[in-house]
Amino acid sequence: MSAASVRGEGPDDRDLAGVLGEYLRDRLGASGPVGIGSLERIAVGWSHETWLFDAAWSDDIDEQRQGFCLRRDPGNALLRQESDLAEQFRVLRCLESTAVAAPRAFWYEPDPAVLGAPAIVMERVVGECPSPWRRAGREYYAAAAERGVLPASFTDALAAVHNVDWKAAGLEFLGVPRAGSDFAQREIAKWQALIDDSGHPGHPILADLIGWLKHNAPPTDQLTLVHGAFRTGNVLIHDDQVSAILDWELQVIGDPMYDVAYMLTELNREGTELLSNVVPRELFFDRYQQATGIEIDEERCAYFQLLYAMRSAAFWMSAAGLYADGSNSDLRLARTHWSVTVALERAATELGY
Amino acid sequence: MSLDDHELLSRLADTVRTQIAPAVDDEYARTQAFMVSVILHRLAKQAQLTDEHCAAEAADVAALADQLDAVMASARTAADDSGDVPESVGNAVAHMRSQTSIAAASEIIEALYGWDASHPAAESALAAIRFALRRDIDRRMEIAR
Repeated sequence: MSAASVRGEGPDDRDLAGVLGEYLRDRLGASGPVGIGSLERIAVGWSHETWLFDAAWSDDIDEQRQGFCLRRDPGNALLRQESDLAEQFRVLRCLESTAVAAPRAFWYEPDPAVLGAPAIVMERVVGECPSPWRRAGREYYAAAAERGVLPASFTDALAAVHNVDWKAAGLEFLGVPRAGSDFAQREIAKWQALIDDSGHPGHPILADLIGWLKHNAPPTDQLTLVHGAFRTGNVLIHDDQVSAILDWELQVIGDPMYDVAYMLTELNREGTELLSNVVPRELFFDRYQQATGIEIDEERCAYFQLLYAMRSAAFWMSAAGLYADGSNSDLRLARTHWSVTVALERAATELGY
Repeated sequence: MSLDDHELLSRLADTVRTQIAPAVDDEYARTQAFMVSVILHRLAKQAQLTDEHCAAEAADVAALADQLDAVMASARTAADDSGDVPESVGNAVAHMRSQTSIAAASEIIEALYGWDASHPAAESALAAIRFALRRDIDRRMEIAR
């Protein structure tokens, strides 16, 4: 099945500028055509398509110009089951009234016939997002760490997520775990479902990991909004400040240590002691705990790092499955067949063998 | 002169990496071509190591099954109050032995966690299984690395 056929009968990408201009005309209150310029698809992540563009229009008073970001669901992308665009749109709207640095979402279009696929149109936030997996990105973050502003801003950005009054913000629709170990058990069940859907035969190390996780699930004594993938590469940076947190695909109401564990994990830093390639550990502990009033529980973080090992295995099994079942022809996904092995080796090491 | 499968795959991978991919102008297609090279290299290693790995796995599975039988027999004869070893564990061990595949250890692990992972016999069984699994994942990493 090709990507185009998954999307359904919608406009061709070659017409996308014209389609966007038409789509925005009424929504922007333009008195005439909306000009679309600098339209480019950017290669970020493996989930949704991301397009950036500028719109120029006239209203009854003045000439207007604004940058936008279009995210589309091509229907065959990694983690699609976990990152429904309708939910992302709702989350972003809820976050508008909070201190969290997130892009403003303007419109959600579910009909694939309108923009070529279900899509969100949102604010284009100023900033850059160097990849921490490339040398240039690591050098960028190392230099920013030296200057000292970004480490504090990065920590504050996570603290802001955990400080959100999620009930007041209307985020209960994400699902609220019960007292006890329900949060961890829910996450295990979520990734188990992704593994089951992948068609991957599994491996005894995974059975061991899942058994261990179920038997050692810690109680969660405090619930916060959890981003689920807070690291460099998933935030925009402008003038050494986090200008927006991106990738609102895995957020849940849950244990804040789930995000903290992701900060602490070696998976998100290569060849550096800096957390997520940019934050000195001591600064993170001091600043995060002061900003949130939440004490970092390293034992719980160690548990969640094992849960991330399961999540990684689930990601790669799902990715390899997308190629194997013919729903996505991207060869990067085919290569992840062997990434499963790497994730399982890490799980074995973290389980102590 | 002929090439073994793994040598042919390895040479194809080198050709794609050094001659074909760099000549592709389109960025997406060039990345895909480099991916072909990476995948061919993995397949070459797999072709090279499969026989050796299969033999090692069969030996490990047989040794593990013997160990687990001994652990379970010892647990059954031990006079403690924690109850008998469930039949599901013994059945899973027999199944793994018949399959000569470490993949069948999943069933044993699930049976052990379903029983009582903190029981001394379950702990001994898990330790033996984990030793075999470490050897298995190390072999797989020779290809995946």
